[in-house]
Amino acid sequence: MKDARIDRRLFLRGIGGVAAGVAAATALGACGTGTSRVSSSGGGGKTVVVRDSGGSYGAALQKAIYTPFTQETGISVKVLNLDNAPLLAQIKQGRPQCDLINDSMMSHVKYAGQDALEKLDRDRITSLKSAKIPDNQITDHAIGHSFYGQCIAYRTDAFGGRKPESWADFWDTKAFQGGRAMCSPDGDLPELEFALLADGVPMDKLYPLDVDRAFKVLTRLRSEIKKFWDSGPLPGVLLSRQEVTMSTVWDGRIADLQKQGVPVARQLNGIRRQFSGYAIAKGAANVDAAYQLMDFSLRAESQANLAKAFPSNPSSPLAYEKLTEDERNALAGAPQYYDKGFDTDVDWWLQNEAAVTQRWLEWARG
Amino acid sequence: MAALTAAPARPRKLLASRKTRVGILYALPVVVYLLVLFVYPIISTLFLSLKNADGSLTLHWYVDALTGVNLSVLITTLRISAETALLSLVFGFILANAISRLRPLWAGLAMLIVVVPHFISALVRTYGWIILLGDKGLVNETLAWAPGAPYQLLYNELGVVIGTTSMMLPYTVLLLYGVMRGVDRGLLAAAASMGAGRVTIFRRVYLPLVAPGLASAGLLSFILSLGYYITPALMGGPNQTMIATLINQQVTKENQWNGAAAQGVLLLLLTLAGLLLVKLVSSLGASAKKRSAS
Amino acid sequence: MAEFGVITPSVAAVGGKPATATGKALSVVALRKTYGDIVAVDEASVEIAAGEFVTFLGSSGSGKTTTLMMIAGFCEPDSGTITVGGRDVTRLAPQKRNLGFVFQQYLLFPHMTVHENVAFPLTLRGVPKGEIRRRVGETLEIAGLSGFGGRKPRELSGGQQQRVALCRALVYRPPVILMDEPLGALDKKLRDQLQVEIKTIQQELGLTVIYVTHDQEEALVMSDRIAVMRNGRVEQFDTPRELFERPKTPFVADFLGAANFLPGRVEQHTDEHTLVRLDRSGGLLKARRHDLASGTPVEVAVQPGRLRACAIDDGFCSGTVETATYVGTLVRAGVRIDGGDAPLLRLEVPAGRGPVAGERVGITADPDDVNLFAGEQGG
Ligand SMILES: Nc1ncnc2c1ncn2[C@@H]1O[C@H](COP(=O)(O)OP(=O)(O)OP(=O)(O)O)[C@@H](O)[C@H]1O
Ligand SMILES: [Mg+2]
Repeated sequence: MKDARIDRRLFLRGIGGVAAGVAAATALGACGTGTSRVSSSGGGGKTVVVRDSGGSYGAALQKAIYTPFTQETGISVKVLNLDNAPLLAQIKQGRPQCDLINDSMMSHVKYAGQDALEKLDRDRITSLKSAKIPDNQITDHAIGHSFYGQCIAYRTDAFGGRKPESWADFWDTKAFQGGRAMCSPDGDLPELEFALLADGVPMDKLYPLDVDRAFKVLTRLRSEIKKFWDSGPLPGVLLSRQEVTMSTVWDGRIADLQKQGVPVARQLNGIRRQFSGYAIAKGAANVDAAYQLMDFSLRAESQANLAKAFPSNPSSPLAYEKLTEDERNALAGAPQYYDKGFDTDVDWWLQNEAAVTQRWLEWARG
Repeated sequence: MAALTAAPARPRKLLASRKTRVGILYALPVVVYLLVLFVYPIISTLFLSLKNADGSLTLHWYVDALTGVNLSVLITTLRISAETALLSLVFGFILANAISRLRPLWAGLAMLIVVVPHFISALVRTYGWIILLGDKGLVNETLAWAPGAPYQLLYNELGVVIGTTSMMLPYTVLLLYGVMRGVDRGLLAAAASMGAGRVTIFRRVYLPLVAPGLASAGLLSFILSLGYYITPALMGGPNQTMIATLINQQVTKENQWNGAAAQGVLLLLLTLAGLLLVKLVSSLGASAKKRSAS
Repeated sequence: MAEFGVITPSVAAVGGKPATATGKALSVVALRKTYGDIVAVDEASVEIAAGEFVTFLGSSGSGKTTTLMMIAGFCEPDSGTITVGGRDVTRLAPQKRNLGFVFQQYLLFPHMTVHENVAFPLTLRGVPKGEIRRRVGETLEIAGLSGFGGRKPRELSGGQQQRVALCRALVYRPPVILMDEPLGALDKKLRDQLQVEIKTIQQELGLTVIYVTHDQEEALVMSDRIAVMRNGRVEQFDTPRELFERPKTPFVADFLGAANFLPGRVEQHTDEHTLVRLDRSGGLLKARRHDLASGTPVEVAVQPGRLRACAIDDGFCSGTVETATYVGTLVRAGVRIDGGDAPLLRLEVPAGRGPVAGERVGITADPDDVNLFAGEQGG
């Protein structure tokens, strides 16, 4: 689901890396001309345009959701891999290219604040009830369909058979020797929570984050952090090349390495969960179809199918029951692991991300 | 653009001439193209960078961009770009020089090898670099006996410059190769016949003949590096953050277009300054030569 | 040409020490160069005196350039030696040979002005600045390029560029200047003009020049001596007059004089002459004395200009004039010899006394102008 990071970069670079600001303005201009309004060009059959982040996640969505959806409803699905900024610009001009938006809940909340999303009519999404979507994933403008987590990944051959149990162990470079990797703001939200957990703050008392304390704790580890990763596969690469012995990682990124025989494992204690969800763009051309696709995607069965095709964690607890035990155990979202982690406080981060990112940069450049 | 600046001179007379009218007609697509794809975005970016949240004019985005961590990132960007330009010039020169002496078939093959990394995805390329330069990489394994090993060749400025230089090499090699192929080998023989040694021939004949290529290759890699950030992000650390990263973060994460626009404008200005500098240096060099000749 | 009429004594002394008029400037002994199976130069030997203008003349591919390149050091001979002023330079790098080279393609440095181009070899030799300026100025003046010092080569005509190239080779007074078809790229008129200019400069300054051309006329006009090359060999190395009048091989006789060849057999000798019975006409021809045994089959070679028409019974053969063309002061005639289908005999006789087409004539020649080549078929 975080494949978007790379795509986004390529997108910006493609337009002209010399002055990304210029490039971005060009994109704005291009949006204004409204290259194709899909709804108007639909030759008879109904269509819905959905934005997702493409890559292997996009392929999994196509297989597990879009194709079955078209088979069931006859509505064809077009996929748009558009970056947030130009999408927002489109919506503001009243002519969004897409109807349904699949993005992080954090960005949905942000968009909602900018009046870019349709207020949802919950009655039109019957699977909210049938799939038992948790209440905290149902907001006025977006419904959470899955989450990914950030947790510890480590080399199983590095610590003489011992395994790290907590973020405190992640910080303990005497007991668990070797380099560390953590994410840079270019990859995900700065990992202040982990620092606080390592320093003994209880998981349910994290927010609002004590930023000063977090950075102080981070400083203790700074010299051991060899690399700040900015894209999902990098922690795996660093671990498999033995550049580091422990890294933070997106929870879905370890299984493939293990299949390749790399001696790595993840520790789900203290995992930070971030949800993704669906929302409908304000002014969308195919609102009905968008509701239908959203409803279809949120079904427990759909969510389970997606989880089989891509390591994402369904928001529906019923989805896990539709998986085999092995499949279930592999997912960080499985009910038995749920108490190990915490949900990201989207509101706190929305208010503080810019400042924390700036401070992170100052801290990291030290 | 030329047509635009020439027109006001004596408009009536100029327009009256058939040749001019035809010329304008030919220039029109280019002018329109430039206006739509360059002038308009640049002006709107400029406007964005001067606009306050409430729509009033302000310079504070520029103040932001030129203070604190933003300034240090800007300086880093310039430094890394300059280092990259220099190194890719040196290595590009050596490579192009070697390739230009090869037979066409081998030259083509060598060129392919230089260009291929360009078409490999950033991540795969990074993986390759880690295999080569990492703590447990090829270089460090072979140098394991040396004092101070393993050497930190990644996640620092060295790593970034190695990465960006390899990305720039195709440009500099192609450019220099073209220029070098254009140098008449007979001129070097002529110099030798007059008694010039290898060093003198290189310095006084070969180098001046390829100098224009060197200038444009250096400038090109400098300018391209200014906007780079995938490779720096993958191969460097926070101290190698490039300004494009900040622009990207502001636009995609914070939806903060004004600050990004200001930094974009600064990048553009720096690029133009780079161009101007090269022009200035080369024309200074030329006039100095003229003075010494007369 | 006018430029050279005004050469002042000081100009003639350009570069200080004038070349000595005597002594060996350069000698090439048994030089050989092969490219795979191709023998480009085969045992070529020449000795050149200081102040001499020597030309390598030969058809395309005869090895002229290769020889010159070996002398200059741009390619290494398989065997043989090259000495310049008594010093063996056979294996020396080009830049250490202190020779001058004028190339067919000029090869002026495009990034330098005319002045800088000509000054280049002087700066290499550490000549002081003021002296460089003076010598370059003088040399350019000799070549009639006084006002052109500030120009770039591309701002000059072909002829001017070649003159600059010449200046660049002259200015440092190398003991020998090598020129590889320097006028090859120029049109006929300019070529004629520059031939004279180069020759004049060479004589004024006492330069030793080795010149390459495949143009006989150019070679004859300019050279003190000519080395005629054929298939990598030096066929004959002599003054133009010797080559013309006393060719040592049928090839030389043909290449330089476009001689007529007639087959015959040595009949007898007198003190001064050798008598040859011609195969076709059966006539008896008197040649200057050659050391050939009686009965030896020979090729008789006579230049068209040395044959004369005479009364039908006075010549060594007779025939019918088939063509007669007026070429300015000459008449070129083609005569069909009686008794055989031999090629037309070519005559060049002063206009006015020339034969007319259809006329029956006898052919005669001064014995001194008749060359005999034993047993060989002439070209
Ligand atoms: N580099 C080379 N490789 C192979 N053969 C060569 C090379 N250079 C010259 N030759 C051969 O050597 C022979 C002599 O060549 P050279 O260039 O000396 O002739 P040339 O007398 O200068 O002819 P031209 O009047 O055409 O310039 C030719 O048969 C040529 O093909
Ligand atoms: Mg030649």
